[in-house]
Amino acid sequence: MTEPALAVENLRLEIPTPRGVVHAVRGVSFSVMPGETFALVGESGSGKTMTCRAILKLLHPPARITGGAVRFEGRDLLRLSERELEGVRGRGIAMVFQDPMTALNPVLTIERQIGEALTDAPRDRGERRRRIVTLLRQVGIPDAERRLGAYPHQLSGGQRQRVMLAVVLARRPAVLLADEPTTALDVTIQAQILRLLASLQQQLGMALVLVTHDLGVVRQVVHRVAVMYAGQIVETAPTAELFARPRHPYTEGLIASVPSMDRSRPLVPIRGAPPDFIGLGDGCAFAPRCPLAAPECLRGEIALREVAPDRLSRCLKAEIVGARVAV
Amino acid sequence: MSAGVETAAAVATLGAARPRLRLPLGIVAGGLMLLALTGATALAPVLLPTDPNAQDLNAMLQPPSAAHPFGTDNYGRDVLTRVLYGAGIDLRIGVLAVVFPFIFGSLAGAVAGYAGGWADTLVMRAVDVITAVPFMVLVIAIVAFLGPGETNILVAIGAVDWIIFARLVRGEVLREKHLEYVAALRAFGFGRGRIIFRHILPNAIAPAVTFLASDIVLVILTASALGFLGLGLRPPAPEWGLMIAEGRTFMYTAWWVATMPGFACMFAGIGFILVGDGLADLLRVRGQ
Repeated sequence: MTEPALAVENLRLEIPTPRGVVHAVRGVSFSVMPGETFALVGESGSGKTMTCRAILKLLHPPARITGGAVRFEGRDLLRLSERELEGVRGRGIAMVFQDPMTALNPVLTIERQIGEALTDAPRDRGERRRRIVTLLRQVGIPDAERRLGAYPHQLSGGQRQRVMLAVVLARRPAVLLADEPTTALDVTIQAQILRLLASLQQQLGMALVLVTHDLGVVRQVVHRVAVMYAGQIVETAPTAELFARPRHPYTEGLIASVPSMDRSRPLVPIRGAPPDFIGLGDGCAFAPRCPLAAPECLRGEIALREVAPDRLSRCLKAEIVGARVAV
Repeated sequence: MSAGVETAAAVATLGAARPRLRLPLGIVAGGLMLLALTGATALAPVLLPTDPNAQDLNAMLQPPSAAHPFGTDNYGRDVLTRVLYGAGIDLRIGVLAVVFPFIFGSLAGAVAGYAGGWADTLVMRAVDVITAVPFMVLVIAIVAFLGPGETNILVAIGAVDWIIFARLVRGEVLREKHLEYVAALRAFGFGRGRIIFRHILPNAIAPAVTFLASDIVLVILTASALGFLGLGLRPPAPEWGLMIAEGRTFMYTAWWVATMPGFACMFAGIGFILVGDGLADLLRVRGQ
């Protein structure tokens, strides 16, 4: 068995607020193999973006990491200094962000922003320019030569995300964290960007960690999924198995609430609202919204356990969840 | 190297980067005013070959006439000649005295804002201390300590003036550093120096550049005030403040001696302020 490209172990993160401390990430562990596409799925505020940012220590204060480890190439990234991290970011692990509108520097041209990222930039201007044009063509920007002098505001959202991916391509990272890379884009563009992401991953042999709330996206490109709820992973499974038979009531609810094109299956929303992170007690955080909740669900910490080969669930009733799926 | 040429060059580059953008009227009008003033100053030795300090005791305190468009002063010196030669001195002081505070203040503000922690504390406490004493009082104190003279004026103004740029740039950097593109740059492994100076600073510098133009006016007035107080250049240098100070005795009998350099000062001031305003418009448009 090969070593994972990236392993997150028991990551904990909290945000002090005037109302109290929010435990935004509560002991998240996962690992990603080289070349694998792994997804963190969950609704807004489930801690998936925080987890992603914590891996590269790109959190905004007052958010702070309170425990855990991020293993990459034999080192714990959480223990590295900012200067050492600069060496890991980009070439080791890179990240693309949700909103390509704001993720590029507004006052620099595309040529400069990509040119800077080239790991072994040729000294010759013409040679350098040819490299940049090649990168732009690889990410599917039409008329690349004429786009070199463009500023970000002159490009569409999809094109900007492509430019971000050109920067990734210039950096050739071993692991790419993609935080909702398609959420801010038109539906028609989303599929193109996902395909591009998948092809870049194959080209570079990267491990890809995709953060998303869109199960449609997951189904298309992801090998293995972790579902997050209230700062914890509640279920992990290979994609096909997750959709075929969810082992956590929250996953089941998520799948049931995706609109489908044929009207044979009704849209079933999840009852209730996401939990308040302040004052989260013991027991299952999903219990108040769960159709299967029983008194024992509220007693004590519920552990993530193996419910089938390669499948983990944080539900006491994981075995009977699947039985209800054919609603 | 004169202010007009610099401004014209700045206007030209900004115009070239944005061919479709129309230059704001302020830049055009202010630029023309400054160009006229620097042009007249540069051509002064040709047009008015008389020595600005040449006395003509037969023609003392003469009102404006064809021979002396701005009149003559109490030593019979031609006021127009002195005003134009003085423009060279005052504009030079104005530009030189803001260049160093602009550079140093912007760098200090950028580093303080981005790094935070002790660097921020160090810079901002220095800023607080300097802010606590009124600008003019501190400049006068430093000049009084160093002694009069052009270099000392530049040093005194520079020592006090940088705090404004530091504060302006720091504020912008604080806002800018939490924007997503900075996180993206960090995520791609760019070093801190590159992020601060190549990426954040160009986004954060606009207010400081805008203030630069009005600051030149402030500095010219400060230099004039120092001249007026006897702490600036020494007579008989044709410096505007000094000329106003010398002319004020004759305000009721020969108003032109003090008023003409005053007008010149005002003319330069309006020119710089128009350019500054126009520049602000231009940078606002560009930032969007």
